[in-house]
Amino acid sequence: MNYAIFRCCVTNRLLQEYETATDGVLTAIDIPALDIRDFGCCGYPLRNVDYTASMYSAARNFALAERAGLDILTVCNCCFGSLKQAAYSLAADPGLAAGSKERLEKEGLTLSGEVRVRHLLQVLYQDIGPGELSERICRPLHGLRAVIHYGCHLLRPSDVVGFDDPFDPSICEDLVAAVGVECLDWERRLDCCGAPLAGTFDDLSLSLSRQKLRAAAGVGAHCLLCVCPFCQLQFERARREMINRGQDTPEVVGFVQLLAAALGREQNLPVLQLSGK
Amino acid sequence: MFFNITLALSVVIFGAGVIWRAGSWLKKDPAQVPPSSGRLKTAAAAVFRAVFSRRILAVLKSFAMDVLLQKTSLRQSPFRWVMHMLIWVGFVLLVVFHALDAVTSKNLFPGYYPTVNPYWMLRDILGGLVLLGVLMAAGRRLQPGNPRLKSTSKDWIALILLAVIMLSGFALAGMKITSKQAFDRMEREYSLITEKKESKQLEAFWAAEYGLEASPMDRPLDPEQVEAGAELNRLYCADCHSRPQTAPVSYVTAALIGPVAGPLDRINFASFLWHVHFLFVFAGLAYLPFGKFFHILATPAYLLARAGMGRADDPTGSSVMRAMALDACMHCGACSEICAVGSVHAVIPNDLILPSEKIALLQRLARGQPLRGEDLPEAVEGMLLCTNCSRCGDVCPAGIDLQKLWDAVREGLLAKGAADHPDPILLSALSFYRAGRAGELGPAYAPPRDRAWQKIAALSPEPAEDPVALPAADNPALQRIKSSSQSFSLAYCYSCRTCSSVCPLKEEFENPHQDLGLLPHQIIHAVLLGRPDMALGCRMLWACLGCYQCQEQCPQGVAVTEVFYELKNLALDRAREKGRG
Repeated sequence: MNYAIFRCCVTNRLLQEYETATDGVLTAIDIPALDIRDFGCCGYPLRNVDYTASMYSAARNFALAERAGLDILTVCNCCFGSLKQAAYSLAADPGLAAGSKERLEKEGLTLSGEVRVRHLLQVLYQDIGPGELSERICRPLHGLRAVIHYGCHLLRPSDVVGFDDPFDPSICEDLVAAVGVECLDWERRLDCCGAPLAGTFDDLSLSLSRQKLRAAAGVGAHCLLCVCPFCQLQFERARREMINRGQDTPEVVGFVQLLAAALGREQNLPVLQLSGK
Repeated sequence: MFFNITLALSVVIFGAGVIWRAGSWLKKDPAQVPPSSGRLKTAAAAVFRAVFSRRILAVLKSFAMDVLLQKTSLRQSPFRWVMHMLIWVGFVLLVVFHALDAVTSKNLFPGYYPTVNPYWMLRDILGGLVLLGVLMAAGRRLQPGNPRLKSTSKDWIALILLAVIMLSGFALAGMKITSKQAFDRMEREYSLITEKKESKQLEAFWAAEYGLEASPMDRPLDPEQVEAGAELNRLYCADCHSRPQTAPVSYVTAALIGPVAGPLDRINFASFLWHVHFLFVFAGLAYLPFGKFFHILATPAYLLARAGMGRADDPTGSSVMRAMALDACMHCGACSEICAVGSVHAVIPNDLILPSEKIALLQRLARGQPLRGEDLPEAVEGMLLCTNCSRCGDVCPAGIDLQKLWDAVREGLLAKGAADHPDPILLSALSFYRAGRAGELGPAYAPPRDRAWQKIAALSPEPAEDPVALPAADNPALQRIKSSSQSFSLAYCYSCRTCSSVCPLKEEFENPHQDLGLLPHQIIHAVLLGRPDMALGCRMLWACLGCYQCQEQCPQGVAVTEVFYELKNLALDRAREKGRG
């Protein structure tokens, strides 16, 4: 086993199906991952509050993974971005690293900085590859048209996260194509979903999500694919609102859920009914 | 007489205390919802519905799995489960079969004597198990490396009471083994020995084999006398007194007492220990409704009520359950150990971040005590620093849905208590969860958010002030930004305004300048001009999505988004200073 799975806080109560699908995918692609129950917040929602607290929260997760001798595997963009940022800052800022190590010591933990942070998509793309992945698909989802919402923290800041070309990425498209789904080109592919302002600047937050959903509907997408539960919940919220207003909107699906379905691990995804038509 | 009076007194205090504590479930609510009148009726109806319907099956299942087996603890921490099982099972069995033996053991088991096996041995083992559990619990609370496990005086009082009861019990049993006085009394009561010679023989045997250390007989003992004593022992004693070696802990205690057994026996130390033992038992009984021991009653009651309630979402019922939950919490600290933001406590030393410590705050609110001075901002901060992952409730052995509790209390606090102390932490991604409850909260949703915005806006100077006034050379805000490893890069800015032109927010407003206060490049310029305070309260800073478009596209590599985060941290510190000042 090489990975500790890092689940996002929001999925535990609000998006259990995301966790189930993640487990299904990991089993199907033979990537066992350990659930470390002591993992805490990635630090992302604490960025506005306190830099040191946010980075320490992430650092503690590194120390826990280090104790288990595992790398961290994330399935959420915010967790990915925040942990990547923390790894970057801890390496660049000796004061921050020293303070974190001192606090960790009180919990009997150590931090050497050797733990790698990877997004599930990196494992799928770099270690398995779209070709190999498509061979494992037992239920190709032909006929399904999707747009991909990358999400900010998967791509930017590119010198910190190092995922793909921040201006013209293609990893998600390649992986989605491997599942048999048609990827549509669309205007707002790399824009923010609006989730960071939910609860703060609600009108603006939902307006950003609606614009993306409308753009997706405009190019004829059946579904908008997210690779981050935070984005997914935000779009679902905006989508419900649009449906109430009688507006046209695609379904919102987690890529991990779609993949789980294509790997035969999930049967109840509503969007599957569109496949094959 | 003394025994009976103290017993009666402690039973009366216990009874009155239980009625008072359970009665408060019908009166208080930590969410500060004015308790509705029909609570007793609602509670009684809920009990009736649960007992006389198929729900009773769920209640029975919960009794087996949660109350008896305590499966949540078992799944989370086998150590904690073993620790608690040792104390719980050991203590309950001791109470039933030892403390109440006059009504239980004597009637249930023919030939029961406290000194005969298997009863003596079992009692000894049970006491040993409880003591082991108490040691594990104390060790858990004292062991370093667990800074989030807080121990209060209530935790220690409970452990000390248990330890004193067990240790005095063992000391008493050990003392009695060595005691010549006890031996003489038993000889008088149970044997037909009248001759002094036979009495000496029996004593010699007990001194040799039964640990009668206080016997003044000369050592070494005469083997013939001992042998004759063995015969007498078989005749008169063996039926109702086993070998003390079979009660291992008491026998070891007796061996330890050995060297001073004689003098202690002469001052009748056993009687002193007996008084200590029963007085502490009675003290524990009287104290039960007022301290940590109350969970012995409240936690099973809560667990069963929860099973009986099912998924019903009746506001009055939920209010009663919230009151019960506060008493069902036994402060085990499992929630704080798993809390997603628990580690933040190491940086922001506010105990109310930890779920286990929030309960104490909730108890205060439930009693209707107002929060004053520092307490209110700390309470709000503690309630807001939460990712709402609800893992605290998942691991709670008392089955408390802590997330629901936080939801209710947080809103109560935001609505009333925090009206004068809005916390801008509300303007962070931590509020994502709250946004999802907007529909449910209705008109209560927006005001706390808007007050936080107002508090932030108040940080920037009025536009009338001269914006180009030269900054003080020792401007601490400027120092902080420039010395930050995140933001020092802003010195590279060459005013190309790329950040503002790629900001997605610009297109969301008809007049971005007016609606957002400053645009991203202007925020950077304000800092460069030595006036970061101009940026702290501007709408742009707090409407920033953190999407990193500006930072990604800055040709000079200025970490624009990171500068914004640093400014927001600074603003929050300022807002709190103002709030507390």
